[in-house]
Amino acid sequence: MELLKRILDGFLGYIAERKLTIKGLKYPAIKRITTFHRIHVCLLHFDARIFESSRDLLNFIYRSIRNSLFQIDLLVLPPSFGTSLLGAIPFLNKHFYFESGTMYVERFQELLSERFINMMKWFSKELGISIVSGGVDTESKMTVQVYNRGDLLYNRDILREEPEVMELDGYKLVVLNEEEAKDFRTIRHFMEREVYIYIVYSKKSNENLWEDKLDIWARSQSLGVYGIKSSLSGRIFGKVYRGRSVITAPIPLTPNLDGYLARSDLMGAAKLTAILDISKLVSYLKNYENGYERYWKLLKQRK
Amino acid sequence: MVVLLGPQMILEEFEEVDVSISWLETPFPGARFTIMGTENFFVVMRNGEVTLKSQEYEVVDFEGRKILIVCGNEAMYPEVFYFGKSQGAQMGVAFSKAGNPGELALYKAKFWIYSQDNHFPVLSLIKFLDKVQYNVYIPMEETQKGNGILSESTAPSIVRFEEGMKIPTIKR
Repeated sequence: MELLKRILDGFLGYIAERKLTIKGLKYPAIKRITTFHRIHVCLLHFDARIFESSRDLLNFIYRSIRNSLFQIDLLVLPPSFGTSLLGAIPFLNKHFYFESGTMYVERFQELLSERFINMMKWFSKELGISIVSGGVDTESKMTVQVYNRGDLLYNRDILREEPEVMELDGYKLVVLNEEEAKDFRTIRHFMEREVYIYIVYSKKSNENLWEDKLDIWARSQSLGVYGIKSSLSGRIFGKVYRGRSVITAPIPLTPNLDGYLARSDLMGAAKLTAILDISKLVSYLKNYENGYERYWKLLKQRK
Repeated sequence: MVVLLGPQMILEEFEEVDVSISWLETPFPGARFTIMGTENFFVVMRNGEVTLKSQEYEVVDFEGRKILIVCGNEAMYPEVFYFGKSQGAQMGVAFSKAGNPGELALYKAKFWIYSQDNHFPVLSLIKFLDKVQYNVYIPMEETQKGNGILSESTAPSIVRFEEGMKIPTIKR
């Protein structure tokens, strides 16, 4: 029985591998406008869905961003985005929407992860941008990968592993889970290392907007940082998620004075774009947050 | 514990006020304790006598109930509220001054956040365009709307804290 299962998996894997190739794919190179200290962010928020091939997945992203591609520095894709590739496994793709999907993702984890990472590495090189994306996850995992022009800089399960500073094109960022983003000390610690951009990945459904404000929105206001939160939305593994994706900044730096540079709804797809101006933020910090160091030192000494 | 937030009004309930908190005004004669301040300093008075002056922050014991009082820049830092909580404060009182609508919204957001982060009520007095805004924020699960805002107003109000400083009710 075990042998039969292995043979079947091998067969399915073989077909999936053929679908997950990047051979023959080509995206037109676009001359990008880059400005020093101004990071153009694009966050795609859409309901979880399956893709039947790498072409299917990459075309979907490309179509979504091509109109503004000339000015995207950082592209943020939803949590567990790599899991969408379960659609490439024949006969099993519909399990993505049901509880049984976790089992099949585990069975094909190695193949799907490897193919997904190669695909995204290639895509970030082809477009010449940085990409942050959720990986191939089961229900209890939340992997996040960061790609920069063809290089994989970061690949971790953010629910279990410690956050780490990444240096991209002239700016730094840190990927956090929701609980880490709720603790001001975690972010203050990274601010000492001049990290001003925080990306939060969340799988929680927060229908109450006020509860939703307690993580990165609150840290943008209380500490003065830029926040990008990508939340899971739609049905996956038998559960329905209703998350809100947002790009936050300190209130005086937001046009509506509400602390949001962009915000999605709970349902449906959205492309959120914003410019994160680091020099503007640094002068904001000088005006509003100057002097916290004394108390931060005291707090560290107490530990 | 009954707290009067704002200047004195002529109402019979005010006879039972324990702590009166206001922007620099004439002390309220009915209260046992008075906290008055601006964005630069605050004073604490007991039965009309000044017992404490400060330009930063203090955790003051009001007959067994500890209150964190903070003004100016210090009110902006989450560390100060965190210290207050770790020193046993059951409530925060903050004085600050906003120069434009953006600052006003930012300060209100900050005090709301400090209330949620430290899980205690924060009473803030923010001066903006010659008016003082009196805001009462409490942990969101204790408000009916689930937003953590008990009151935001330029009119004075009375906040009545139940035993253990929990679930306040408000009266205007």
